[in-house]
Amino acid sequence: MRNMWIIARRELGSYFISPIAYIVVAALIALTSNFFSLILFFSREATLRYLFSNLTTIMLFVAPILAMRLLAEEQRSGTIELLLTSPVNDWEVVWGKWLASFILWLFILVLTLIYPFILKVYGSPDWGPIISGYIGLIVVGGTLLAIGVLTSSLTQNQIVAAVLGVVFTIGFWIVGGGSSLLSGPLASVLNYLSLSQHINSFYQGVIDVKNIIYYLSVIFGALYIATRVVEIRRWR
Amino acid sequence: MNEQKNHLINFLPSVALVLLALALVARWLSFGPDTLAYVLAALGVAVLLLYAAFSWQTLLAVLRGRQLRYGSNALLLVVAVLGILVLVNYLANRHNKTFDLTANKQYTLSNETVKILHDLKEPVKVMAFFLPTDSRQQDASQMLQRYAAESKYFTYEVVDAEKDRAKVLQYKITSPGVLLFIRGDRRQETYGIDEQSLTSTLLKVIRNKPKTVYFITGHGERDPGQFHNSGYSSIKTAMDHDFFKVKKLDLATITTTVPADANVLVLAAPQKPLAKKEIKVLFSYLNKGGKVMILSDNGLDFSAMRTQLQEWGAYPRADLLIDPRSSFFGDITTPLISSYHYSEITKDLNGVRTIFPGACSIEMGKQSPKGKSVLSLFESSNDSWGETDWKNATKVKFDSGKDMKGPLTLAVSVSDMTNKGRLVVFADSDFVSNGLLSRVQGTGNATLFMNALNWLAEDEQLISVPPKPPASHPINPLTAGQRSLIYYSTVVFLPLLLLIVGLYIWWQHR
Repeated sequence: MRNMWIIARRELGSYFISPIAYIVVAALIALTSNFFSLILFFSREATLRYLFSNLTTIMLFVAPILAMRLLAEEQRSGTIELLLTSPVNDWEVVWGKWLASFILWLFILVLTLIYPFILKVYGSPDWGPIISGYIGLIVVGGTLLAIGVLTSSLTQNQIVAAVLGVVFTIGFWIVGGGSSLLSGPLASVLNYLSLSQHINSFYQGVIDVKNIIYYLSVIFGALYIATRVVEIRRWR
Repeated sequence: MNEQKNHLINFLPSVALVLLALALVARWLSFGPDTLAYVLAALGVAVLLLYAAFSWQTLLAVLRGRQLRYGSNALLLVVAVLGILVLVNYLANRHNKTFDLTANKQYTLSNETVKILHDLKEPVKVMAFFLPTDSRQQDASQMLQRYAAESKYFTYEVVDAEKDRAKVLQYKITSPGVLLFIRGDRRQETYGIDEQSLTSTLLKVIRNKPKTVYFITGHGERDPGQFHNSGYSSIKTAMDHDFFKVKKLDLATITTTVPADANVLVLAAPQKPLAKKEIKVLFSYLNKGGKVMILSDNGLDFSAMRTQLQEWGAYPRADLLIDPRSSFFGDITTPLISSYHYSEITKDLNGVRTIFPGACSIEMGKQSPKGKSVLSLFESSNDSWGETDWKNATKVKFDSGKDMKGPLTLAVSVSDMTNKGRLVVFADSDFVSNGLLSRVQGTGNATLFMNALNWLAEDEQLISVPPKPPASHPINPLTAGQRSLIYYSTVVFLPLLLLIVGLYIWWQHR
């Protein structure tokens, strides 16, 4: 467990000294802010529900970019050997890497707290949906990053990891759309698997425990597979 | 040469990935046929196969190698772990817990609805027909999901009204956005997706006996059996459709009280005043928890029952409502209404027009009578007035002191808190006459009448389902300066600050 923290801290450190991370986060914030202003001016409602949906869609693309380097780079440069031969468990490496990107995500969310602050200044928002919305963003962001970590484990090439990650996140996002073409149990299984089917109630102001369990399961599953993949690559 | 070729081959998986990604994006963005997406996906798969064909030696080595042996072990483990996760999710679904954080508990079903659902004994299926662009679809399916979670007899299906034409035709859907409740051969429709709309429609579809509406006769009232222009046969068809049984009642023939099977009494524009005895029967029914609808018209005389009506907070004046600002095609004696106060009767009418040819105005007391809740449903514009001297057509102008100045109330709903009686008073009766309904299309007049009737005939069970107006948290109007401040501080300043900090740290580390 302690090793996981050490790896997370090291990885977080390299996020904060890399100009790429700042550029990506600044672009993300600029884009989100743009949505925030437009939605606010247009709807004149003190709500973040629509902004949260937009931010989630943006994260489908950004999360794999934030996570692409985590395992792919170590494999390309060969430093993964050093890591894996050191007295650290494989899962500690994978979870530590994910944790670093997840803390970065929390940091981004802290920056977005300016939006509810603005709503408070100019209106009186219902805080319930904002709180549940942030809880939803935390878990869905963690899930998308876990998928990014998984695709990063599959290749040595960061760009391939990112592209593959975007394919995975979007595929996972829209898989429920297939249920309109199919029917019966397969449709409901696909629907259940779909990342997008579990997020909207958070943004409305409802927390379903089953939805939190779903996202935690996907995080756990993706990181478990990533750990196995790292292990397999080690035997080569 | 060989190396160059190898380079090319190693490049193929990336190309395939990009193609597959584009296919997904195309599938995601397009609303029409997905030909492009399928072509891209097929190309991607073809490139992958090409790669496999060129590098079969490498792949074979992998298959024979140690990696796969360990790999298949790992695969088994992965399958086992995923199996456990599936089980956990299954259990979480079976024993879900929901926390509704909204201020007015917008997404929690009331105890009454839950009880009605638990008492279901027969399957009820809801077909929700939505266009893919309809933003209400998500909310509706989540609401229906909450209902379905409470009873195994309650099922639902969301139908794409654009793609699934077969179902649209099969269920004879005329306009999308409708929720069709089906039990056996019984059907009920609703356009509302809030709890009250859904539960009242559910109650209607599981009801085995029709509700009975009595139209009072004997004073030249509107007649649901009449087919000519002033008759009410069109609206009777709508009542039949909504599972109401329409009967007539002559108050003079009854000695003590109205028939026991009466759910609603309708007094539609009596041309002659009612007799004292009839008024007594009517109001003792109302005061004992009965439900009554009164439709007036310009110049009709309700003075005989003035005291009783004032006790209920709504008295139709004998004037003619003139509205120069909001009228139907410039006919100042036909007020046109397009905005309504929020109420059970008007909640699905916003943005829909209703017109009232030759209406009067309704006098409401300064405050609600004790124990009653009086609600004005909608009003005429500020420029309107109630013309008292309307028989003299040349002198139609506002006379202060004689005429009432607008806005004037056109419809009122009253509920008695203690005895549960309900009264609706309309300032007009032409608005649902055969003539109007057949000549003027696209108004909400019939909906308004049926909403009022349904509200009056509402089951006691439903009365305790609290209405939940959609939560609205408007922001204060923003000045141009405030807009700029918000826009530039979030879109420009915050990202710029990040970039500067990033640049500084990067510089330090270099």
